Amino acid sequence: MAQMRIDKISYRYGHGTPFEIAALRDVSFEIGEGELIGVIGHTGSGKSTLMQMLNALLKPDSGTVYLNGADIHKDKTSVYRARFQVGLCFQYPEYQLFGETCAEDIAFGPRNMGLPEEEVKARTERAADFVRLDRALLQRSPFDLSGGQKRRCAVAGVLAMQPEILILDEPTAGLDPAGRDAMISLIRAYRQNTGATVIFVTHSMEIAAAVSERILVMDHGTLALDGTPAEVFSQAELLEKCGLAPPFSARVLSALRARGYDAPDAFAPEETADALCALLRAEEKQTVC
Amino acid sequence: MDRAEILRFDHVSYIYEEEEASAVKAVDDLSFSVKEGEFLAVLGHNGSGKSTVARLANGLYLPTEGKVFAADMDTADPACEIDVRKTVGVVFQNPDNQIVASIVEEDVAFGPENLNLPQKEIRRRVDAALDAVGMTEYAGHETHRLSGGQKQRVAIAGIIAMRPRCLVLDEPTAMLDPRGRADVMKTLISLNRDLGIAVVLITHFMDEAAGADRVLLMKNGRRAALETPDRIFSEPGRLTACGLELPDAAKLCDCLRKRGVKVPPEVYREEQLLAYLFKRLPER
Repeated sequence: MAQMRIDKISYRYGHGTPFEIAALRDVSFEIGEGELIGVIGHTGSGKSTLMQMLNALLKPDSGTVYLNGADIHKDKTSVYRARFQVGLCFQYPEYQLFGETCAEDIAFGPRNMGLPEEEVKARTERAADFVRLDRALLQRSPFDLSGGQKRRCAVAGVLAMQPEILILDEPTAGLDPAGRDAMISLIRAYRQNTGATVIFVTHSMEIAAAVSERILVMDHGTLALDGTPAEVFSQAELLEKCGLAPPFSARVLSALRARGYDAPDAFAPEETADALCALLRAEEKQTVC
Repeated sequence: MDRAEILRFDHVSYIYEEEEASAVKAVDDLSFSVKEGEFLAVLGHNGSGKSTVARLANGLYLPTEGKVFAADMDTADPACEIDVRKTVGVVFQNPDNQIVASIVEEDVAFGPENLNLPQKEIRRRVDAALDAVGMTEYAGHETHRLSGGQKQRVAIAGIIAMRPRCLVLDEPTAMLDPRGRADVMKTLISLNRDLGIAVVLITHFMDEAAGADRVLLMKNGRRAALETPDRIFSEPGRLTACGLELPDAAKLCDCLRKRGVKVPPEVYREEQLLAYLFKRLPER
């Protein structure tokens, strides 16, 4: 059984007003336990709306979201359960910090779960350690932290709930290369340690290609593509229609394919360079002969 | 003869919370200048002082030490305040924090209205500014319904309408999707080339810096380098030491060179690399 099943969900914002807009149209897919999924799509494609459906923050106008086989909107209890089992970290979460201290902020989720205070404290410290937030900072105001530290503090607040499914909306937006790499290894480590399912939204095709095992492409509220990075990024035309472009490496190789060369799919610069070297060598040999 | 300087930092330092124990030197003895009509990219890790540079450029912050000159005006001279702001316009990262009116053209008119210009002149400037950022057809639209990229272009138009000679942008594309990023970049390039406005683009998207005239590389508030992009991107080690990395195309060039492919040193941009590969791999 799939861990989550999204069954024909649709959703409109501004229902009954002149500004009514369909954010999701008849979206269906399944999520297996432990998957690592990247979600891409231009602004307004429905990515964030979809993410909020997965932890019951929004209720579909039609269709059903199942978590471990049960409708997450069945009753109040199932909604609560979804909120804790599916941890959602919003875009720019550092703007949502509100605790007087970092510790208070991180503890907010676990405390809401009704855990004993000792467990709350243990989880807070563990989460802080995990995101490499110095324990000395735990008693400081989150507003005293640097941008990168704030982001990690906010992520720690979600991790402290130990969600089975972790959703991050643009976790690397606005971070420099070092901060971005640190965030990616953090996400990978959480999955490695807990076996959790991880779903993340990104605007970077390079990150989507490098990190995900499966990619969902959203376009105008529909699920336009669903496949491995190689499957998705070989559909250059369709991606362009969705307002996206394959990562640079994929573009170089597909340009060469268009010139009649047998170029493989690759996303990492090293792999791409290997593929290009092979093509250049083969071409040289031919010219010499 | 050298073009005139439109912005100059002269041994500038800036310290946050100077009186307190937690004082941080965000900018440390920084000197550089921007010529009229130049496109300068500023690269640096989070916390390298890039954003402080933007705020120092038009006197929003005054240097703790050293001097900042906009054209020939000292930003710390109270008599020059308005003229400094008119000369150097600053655009910030989050478009939502910069839109002040509910209708696009009213938002763009906010700056020129505050300059006490005659109505006709305001109208002319608003139309020209919206045209320059490609948002003319949205003049009567509500600002809150625009996409991030459109909002950012409206914010840029609002600054352009004050006719600055230098535009400083602090990570203007950080919150945008690929299409929004491309639109904003296209706008900046055309403002620079067609209207001759000097652009200082603070970014940590390396590929956005690849098309600049020069790149200022910052590390811990100091100037690590100030060179042309081909020089900057031919030294991956220095970038890494600054917590940065090569743009995608330059990274691929670097990987190819390490594998013995003789990619010419001046090649580091996407179109250059493709042209090089196409030359060596003719159509079959």
